[in-house]
Amino acid sequence: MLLAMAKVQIIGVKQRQDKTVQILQQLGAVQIDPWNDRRSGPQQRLTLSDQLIKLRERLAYAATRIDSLLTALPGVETSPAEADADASLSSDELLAAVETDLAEIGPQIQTLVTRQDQLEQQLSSLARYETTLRQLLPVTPILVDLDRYAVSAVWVEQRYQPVLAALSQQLDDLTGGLCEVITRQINPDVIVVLLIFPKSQTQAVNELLGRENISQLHLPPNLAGQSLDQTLATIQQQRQAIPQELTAIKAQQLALAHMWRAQLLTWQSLLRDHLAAIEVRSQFGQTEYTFVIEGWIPETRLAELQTTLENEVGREVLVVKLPLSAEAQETAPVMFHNPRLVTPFESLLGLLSLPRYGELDPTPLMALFFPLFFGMILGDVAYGAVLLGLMLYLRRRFKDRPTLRALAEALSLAAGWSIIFGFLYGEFLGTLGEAVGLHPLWFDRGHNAPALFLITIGLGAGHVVLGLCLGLWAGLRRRSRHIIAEKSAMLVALAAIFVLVATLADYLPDAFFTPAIALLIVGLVILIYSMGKLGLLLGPLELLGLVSNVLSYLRIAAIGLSSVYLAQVANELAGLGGNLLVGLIIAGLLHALNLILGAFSPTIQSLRLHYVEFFSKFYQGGGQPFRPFQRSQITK
Amino acid sequence: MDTGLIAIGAGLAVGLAAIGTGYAQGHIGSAGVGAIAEKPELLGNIILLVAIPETVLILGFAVAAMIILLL
Repeated sequence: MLLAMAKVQIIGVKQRQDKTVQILQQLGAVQIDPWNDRRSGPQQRLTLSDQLIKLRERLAYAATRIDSLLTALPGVETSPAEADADASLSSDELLAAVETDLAEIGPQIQTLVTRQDQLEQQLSSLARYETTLRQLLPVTPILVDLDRYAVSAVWVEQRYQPVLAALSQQLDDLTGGLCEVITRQINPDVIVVLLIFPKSQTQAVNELLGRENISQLHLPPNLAGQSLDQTLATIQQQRQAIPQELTAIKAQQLALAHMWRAQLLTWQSLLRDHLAAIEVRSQFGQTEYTFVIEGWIPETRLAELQTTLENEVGREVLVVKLPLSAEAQETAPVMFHNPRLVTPFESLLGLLSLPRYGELDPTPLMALFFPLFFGMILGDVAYGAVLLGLMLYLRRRFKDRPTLRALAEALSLAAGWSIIFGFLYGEFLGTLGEAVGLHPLWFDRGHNAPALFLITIGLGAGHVVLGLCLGLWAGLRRRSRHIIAEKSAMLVALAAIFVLVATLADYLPDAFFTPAIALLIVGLVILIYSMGKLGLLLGPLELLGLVSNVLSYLRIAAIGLSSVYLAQVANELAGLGGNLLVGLIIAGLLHALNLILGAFSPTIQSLRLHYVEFFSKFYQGGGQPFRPFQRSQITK
Repeated sequence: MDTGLIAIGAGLAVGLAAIGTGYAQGHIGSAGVGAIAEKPELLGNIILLVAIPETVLILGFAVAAMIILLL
């Protein structure tokens, strides 16, 4: 169910604004609405003072620096207890404490990060140099006199190969024939050219290559001036030494993370809280002497808010509960308050849309029917047990990720129902129920498909009728005549169709035929009337849609039976080959596939039955979640 | 002979419905993935939209079941 919300106005003298904001943030019970600028009167939007703007900039800058340090450090498990945190620090005290720590840890982390980047760049470029130089090694003559000659390597793309002849000629002219040009194709697109020329001509050669836009291979200073052999040996040494240094750097970063991460996370959280406490004021209103806050609070916490403000601030701040107009109700946020077993389904509902304030919360109904539908579809003791074990494990694994944890909890319940229906259908790995001494407590769906179809259609009819009844109830609450007429008409028409089908199938005497037709016509006429001008077209379509919705529940039977037949195939294939081991492997793989399908497909189909067939009868959605102004939680 | 024709009829009822459903869901799914890439909060709505054409398949299954059971 949804908690009752109260719209409140908090008015206080400006001198008490800081204290009031601190109390509201600590209490975490009030969602503050943005100030309505279209409102007329003496109250206007509050503007931040220059002092607050400067403080905000300082806090934002410190927060950015903390964020960058946290990004640079490796992630490690931390607990809030490890850190020193005093939430009552003023902003100036907080900034001073943060600056002290940043001065200590910042340079260390920065040095490590810079050195790590340098080494990683060096490692990747050394790999490129080595590849190229190895290609050149076989064609390089052993130069005795490296003192007087320079060696330069250039890349030329394959398509520019004809240029090489001209280049060679130009170099000959430049150096008076005292140069050697050696080419080597290192891949289909690139030719490496080795140029050997007198050192005295280095500048002239470089200028020539620059004019012709030819890329040279520039070795780092520590590699230049050596022979090719020596250069390669040095590269290999460095390629072995650099990873070791990188490992040492990572170990240092990890040690710093263990020492500092918890504290940095605490500072980050406190800085964000202080920033939020400044930024929230731009949503306040003000007069010459007072500030005005409007927002929402759960009814159950209103007394707590009034008492706390009175005790901490006195009578200079007032809390006034405003009347809840129809327009205000439209914008009211919603907050769930459900039993523990129902809570996981709030996330599933959130995938679609939250209920509007004042609307029925369908979560308890979803908590009832979703696992039931899932169980009816999967309906196998073995699959249910494996799924239950897996979901309980995932529930523990994802304890820090609320949405995944909620899904695991919901599917745990669904797996439980699968086990129950497994006993009702007598299924264990599909058709092995009899082999393990399991007899159907209800009926064997694999051999009694017509009964299964009728049951699922009946279930669908009941679910849809429930939806229509809830829609009718919502219409009565809102006193909306056209909704009351529409839902009533649908119920009447649906009842008439059921009676008609039962009469045609000889479940009811023929005497029911004419009244059923009459009832159907009455329902259709009311439906057409309730839908306004386009009712003549939309009414029959809506009725057809209703029948289609009921038939849609046949998917419970269809997907369930497909799972049984796939399991049957797995069991029979296992027995076909002569080898037990091979048979077990084949059966295992097919059952695993069936289990994966059995986890996803019933989930999607059960959700779809709720979202489309059920919710469309009464649910509007479009609600906004309740987001109170509160302290942030320290994140890991 | 009759049994064979009944089986073919039931198979066609489901098979052709499945082709139509698969074609529709393929287009919806690919558009949905593009939407989710930009707005992850649309996931629930996209699942809903992808699952909607399955009613066609279920109705095909219902026809196939009626063919097998009633004929």
